[in-house]
Amino acid sequence: MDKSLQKLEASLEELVPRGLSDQGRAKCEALIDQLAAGEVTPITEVTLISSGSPIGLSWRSTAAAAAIMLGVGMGSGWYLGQSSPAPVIVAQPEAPTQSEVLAMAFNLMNEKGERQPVVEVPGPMVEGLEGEAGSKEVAVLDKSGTVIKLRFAEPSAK
Amino acid sequence: MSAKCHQLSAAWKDWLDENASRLLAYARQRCENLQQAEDVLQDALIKLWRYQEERDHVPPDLPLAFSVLRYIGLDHGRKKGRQEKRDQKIVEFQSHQEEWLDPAAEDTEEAQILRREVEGLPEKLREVLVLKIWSGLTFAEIADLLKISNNTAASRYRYALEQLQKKLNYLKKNRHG
Repeated sequence: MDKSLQKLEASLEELVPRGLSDQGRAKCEALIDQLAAGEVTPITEVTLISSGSPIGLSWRSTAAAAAIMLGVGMGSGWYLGQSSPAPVIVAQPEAPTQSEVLAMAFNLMNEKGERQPVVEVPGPMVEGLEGEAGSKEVAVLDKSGTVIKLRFAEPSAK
Repeated sequence: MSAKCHQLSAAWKDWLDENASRLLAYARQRCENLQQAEDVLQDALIKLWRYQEERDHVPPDLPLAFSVLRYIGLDHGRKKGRQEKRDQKIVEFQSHQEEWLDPAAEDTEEAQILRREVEGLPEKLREVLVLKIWSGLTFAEIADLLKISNNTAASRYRYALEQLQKKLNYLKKNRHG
């Protein structure tokens, strides 16, 4: 590299990237505290289990997922026609991502400390969490075996 | 919070102190404004925490951090359309605060020009330049992150520098000419 480019490189290295804003730093630090304390469930993988067979699971896992759902459902009165648990309303930003919806839903379950399997999300189905065509609901299973049902205000577009 | 939680929290905060600026500079490329870049960084923290579970949650190394940041930034970019109208207003009001590189009172004219021109580089060149100059990654790590060859990474970097040099020379010539 010639000298002028080396000089330019040195000039660039003297420029300092902007740091986090005060608010941004506070949010990151609060998030780190929550993660360390196990208060945030870092949802990165869930399986949709209400639109036919689970995606990507073996038949054993499918059976296990179905058993979990049935167990949760019966425990909460889904399948027996008993009065359903009151849905938990989730406040959300205007256009949430899949991970935002899931993180909020699972965190609410952890906070409540009980099995509240139905979480209402006041918005359209988010990309990646679509149920069957025309459906407003989708159940998800995460790696820990926790099942939760999401009910969106608007159905899937597909 | 238990003692172990405190330790983990402190370790990650130290890691963040050391690396936030370089991570933010990279995230800023894919976002309309600083706030979005900070949101992307927070999403990346959650994912990185998950990935580090198998390593007792020690803070991640930089190549992994940038890889996750890149993925989330790309994902964020795909969803950009829905938020564009809303964010445009924010950009208009905060444009003087949106520079990636911190302005300093004693900045030379060249420093001011460089800050502006780096942000105006084509995306592929800017990405390599930002990673090389401010992120502490080697060409091999950059190539791995961007899924390009070492030679391509080095070429883009050199080309980015040449573009900046050309622009600087042009502006200086016009100023004195």
